[in-house]
Amino acid sequence: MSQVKKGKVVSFNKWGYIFLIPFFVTYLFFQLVPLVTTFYYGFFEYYEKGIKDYGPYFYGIKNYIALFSGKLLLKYSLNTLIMWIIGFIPQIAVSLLLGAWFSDARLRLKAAAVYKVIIYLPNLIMASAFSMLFFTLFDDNGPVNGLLMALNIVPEGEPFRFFRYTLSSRSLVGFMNFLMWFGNTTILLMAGMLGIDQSLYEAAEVDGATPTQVFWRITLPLLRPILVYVVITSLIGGLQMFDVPQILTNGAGTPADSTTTLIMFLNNNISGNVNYGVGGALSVVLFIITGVLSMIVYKVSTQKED
Amino acid sequence: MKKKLLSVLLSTAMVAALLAGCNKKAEESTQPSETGSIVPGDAGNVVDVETLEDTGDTLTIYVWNDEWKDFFWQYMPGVDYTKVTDEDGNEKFPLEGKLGDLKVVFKQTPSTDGAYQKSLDDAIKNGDDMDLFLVEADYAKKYTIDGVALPLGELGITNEELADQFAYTQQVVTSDGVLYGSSWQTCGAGMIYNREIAKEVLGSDDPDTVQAAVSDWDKFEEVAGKMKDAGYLMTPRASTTYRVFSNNVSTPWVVDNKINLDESIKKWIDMSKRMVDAKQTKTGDLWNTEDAFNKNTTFCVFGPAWYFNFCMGYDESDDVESIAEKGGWGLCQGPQAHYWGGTWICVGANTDNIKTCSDVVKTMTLDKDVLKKLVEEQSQDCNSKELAAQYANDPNFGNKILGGQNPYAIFSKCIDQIDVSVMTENDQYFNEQIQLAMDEYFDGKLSYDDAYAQFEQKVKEKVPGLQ
Amino acid sequence: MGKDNAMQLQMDKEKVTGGIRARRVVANIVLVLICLLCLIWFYLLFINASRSRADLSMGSFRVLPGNYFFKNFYNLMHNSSLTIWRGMLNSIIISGGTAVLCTYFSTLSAYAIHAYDFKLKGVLFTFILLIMTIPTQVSALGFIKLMRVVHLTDTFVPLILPSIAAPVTFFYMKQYMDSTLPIQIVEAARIDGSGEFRTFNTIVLPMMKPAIAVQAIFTFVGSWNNYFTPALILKSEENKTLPILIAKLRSADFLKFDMGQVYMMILLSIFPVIVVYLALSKFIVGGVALGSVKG
Repeated sequence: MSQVKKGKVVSFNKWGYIFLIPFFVTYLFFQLVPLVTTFYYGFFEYYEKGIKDYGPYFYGIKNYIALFSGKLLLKYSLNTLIMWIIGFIPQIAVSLLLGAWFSDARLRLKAAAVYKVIIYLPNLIMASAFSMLFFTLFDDNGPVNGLLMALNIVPEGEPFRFFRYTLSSRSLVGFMNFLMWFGNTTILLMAGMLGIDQSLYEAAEVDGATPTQVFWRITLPLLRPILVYVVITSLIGGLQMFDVPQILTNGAGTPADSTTTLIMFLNNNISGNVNYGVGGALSVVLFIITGVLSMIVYKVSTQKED
Repeated sequence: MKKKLLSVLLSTAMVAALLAGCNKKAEESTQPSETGSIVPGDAGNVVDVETLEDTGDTLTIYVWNDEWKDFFWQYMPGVDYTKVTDEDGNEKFPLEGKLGDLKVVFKQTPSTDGAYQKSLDDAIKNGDDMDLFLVEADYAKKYTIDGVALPLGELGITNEELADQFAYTQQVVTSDGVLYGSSWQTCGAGMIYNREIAKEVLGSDDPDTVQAAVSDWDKFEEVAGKMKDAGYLMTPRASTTYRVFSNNVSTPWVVDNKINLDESIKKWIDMSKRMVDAKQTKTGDLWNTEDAFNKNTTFCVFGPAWYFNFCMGYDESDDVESIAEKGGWGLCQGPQAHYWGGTWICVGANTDNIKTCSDVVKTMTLDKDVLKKLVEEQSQDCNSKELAAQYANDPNFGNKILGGQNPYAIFSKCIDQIDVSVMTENDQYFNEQIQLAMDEYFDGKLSYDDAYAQFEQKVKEKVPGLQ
Repeated sequence: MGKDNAMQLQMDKEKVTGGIRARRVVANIVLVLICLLCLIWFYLLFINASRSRADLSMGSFRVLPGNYFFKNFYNLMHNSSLTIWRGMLNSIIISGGTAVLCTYFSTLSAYAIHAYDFKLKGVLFTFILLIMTIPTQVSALGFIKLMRVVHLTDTFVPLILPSIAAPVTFFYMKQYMDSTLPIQIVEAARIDGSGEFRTFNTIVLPMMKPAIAVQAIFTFVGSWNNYFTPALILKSEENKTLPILIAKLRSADFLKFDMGQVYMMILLSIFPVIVVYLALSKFIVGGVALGSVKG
């Protein structure tokens, strides 16, 4: 009897494998094989040159040596990091504030649902369309400069050239990232805050703590795991920054190559004439950075469950 | 000056070839060219056109847009097609049809981001059927080589038949002295100036007077100073003049696998820096210059015939009357001759329909009746000295935007002087990147050395293997 | 009535604790300002999409819409160098196909882990979690090479099929099942003689509807907005999706001559998403928190 039952269970459980077949076959073909070949190409000197290809010739780790001894990898990493920071600092500050308000039961914001809907909206907008919009609005001949002139902030006929200065270009990219992501972060932090034991707040209230004290002494420390999660996942997202600076600068990373991100660098090597060697090596570097950051997230997440 | 002399010599050589051709025609037109020296316009060994044969059943044509495809259906005798309706409800010429018994298939890939070149590369690498393909000047050299395209002689096209074409259109598709393609059009360009401003500052808007005032770059800069004093910009952007200088280089971008900066480009950099510093022009996007077209702010731009209708804000339906609508522009050659744009037809080396290909190239680029129709019905500048001379003197071809001035005379004089013998296959990258980098130098954002280093780095990224 | 009294009491209490009303006013003002910051761009977009080309070329700022909205729309529709309808159709096909495949197979995979016990379960589950954060960009190079080898470049297949293996959606589905799908229901179906695949399709899928709806929207929007991979795969004009057409607007300078059409094109690219979002915002905003926090 038990023998029969066991057999039956096993025969059910084979469906576990069967149902996973589509996932793993697809993953193998569309992700894993490309991933392995990408890494493989990193060890070759191999690029397309018009109607002919150069290579592949085995190149050892020379592609990596070239990447790390050249200035570009460092420069583009810094660009990416700086633009991420410009967007992330206001993002985390605003999100913490809004998250605290939304999760504060006593504040009873009547329109909270409407606010949430609106602040999340920019996250769903096509980044390329949004960038094109910003490009046209902040253009030398665009309406933002029209406004600045009408208000006599800049002289007539001499627009402020947003895309000509490193700071303003990077700030625009950062600002767009802020706009697109702070709603998402707010909702994550809010959920985290709602998960905090309400009795702690009540106790604090009895002790006469001010809202500011409650925020810094209770909310923030208890929120630490989810904050780390938000920071690291945002950093992983930041590493993939592409659409906004690509469209804003038409892929040129102007001014003075100060808005070229790591993925734009990768894109330069794999669109048009593909440079398999350099592109492959760069992909490995990006993979390792993301991997390290992901391990941190994984650690933090599992810690929380314990 | 030396350049001009060379051009004059070249066109003299052309005339000589033309005369020689006429004489020979009576004798034997299918014999190989007997002129010893290689001049632009050599078809190579000419085969007897009667020996050509088709073996395939499909004529595959690579194009990047509708322009020539539409000409083909309209002017190639023996075609059979039905128009199609696109999603927006517009009637369009189809991508497929018939030419005699042959099936015709257009493979269309847009040229943005090098996608069209990529489609050619793939077809060549894979050995796909490619009977005819179109190229632009920027990258023509990549494909006008043995094994990719056929020399015109192998299509049975003779030097005599080609002699009426303008020399520069042949240089673009000449490799190792042999012609690999042919074009129906020329895209000569000139200096388009604001008549009102010319009258005010130079005292006259007569094309000859204006031309005399800007006949070389020193004078051009002098006028720029006067314009500045009168409160006008000389050109809308520093890059406005770039094409004129880059058309007049005497050394290629790459020499011995090293990047080479030609004197003419250096001259453009120095002049533009001075002009930007003196506020005689501005930095920035070449195209975003509507100000210059709607208000009297800017003296001149440089452009070809298509520039008039396309870019200068000629739109009577909107509520702003642009300078173009008032016929307020004039045209002269400017400090140096240049051209802008153009499409060439090449025959794939592995074509299986060589007879039809030969037919198409002859009909669509050399047949005078077709060329006339292209001028009169499609506003093309045709690649025929004879016809160009006729149109230059035809009062019916005055241009509204130019206040009735006939542009043909100036354009055809201009293209007669163009020498583009030093093009390379990657000119496009070099020209784009040097302008981008130098714009930041003009702006004071980068030092000259930094800007040049940025240019070098960007070009090397796109063209690996450069020193 | 009792509720009102309770509220009254509550409010009195607030007066006692003091400051809460002031804080509420401040919070509302700040929130309204932030919402304005989010919305002003879309308003500006609308204004500019309704202005004439000539007016826009003057570069001036306008607060009120012009009367060229429909003219710009008409011009854009008849612009032969921008295949906007075709682009929209392509985007819909790709995003729709992606959303369907992704949600169906992610649910199926999650169900496999959730409902069955098998030897490699732990290993496979951990593996899926590990690959979750690998960005698609790092394998893009090998991806294009492979697609060329199997002749799938310039087709929709490489943009739709890979979504069958979507670790993030899988993970969301798994979380959702853990909290809402009791295994007893599956066992009851087995006793009724239902086959495993049938059980999944007729019993499990319907129960997963809320989660599928949320993920379908996210997947659809993600695919709709995607620029990086389609730009590498799609080459011919008739296959391009909206983000690529937008990028083309940015790079092909001559297209920028009629800024009215440019704004209209941007508007049309983001408008469908805004409509869908506003209609379904309740699920979406809830879904964000649901999916991510539990991790």
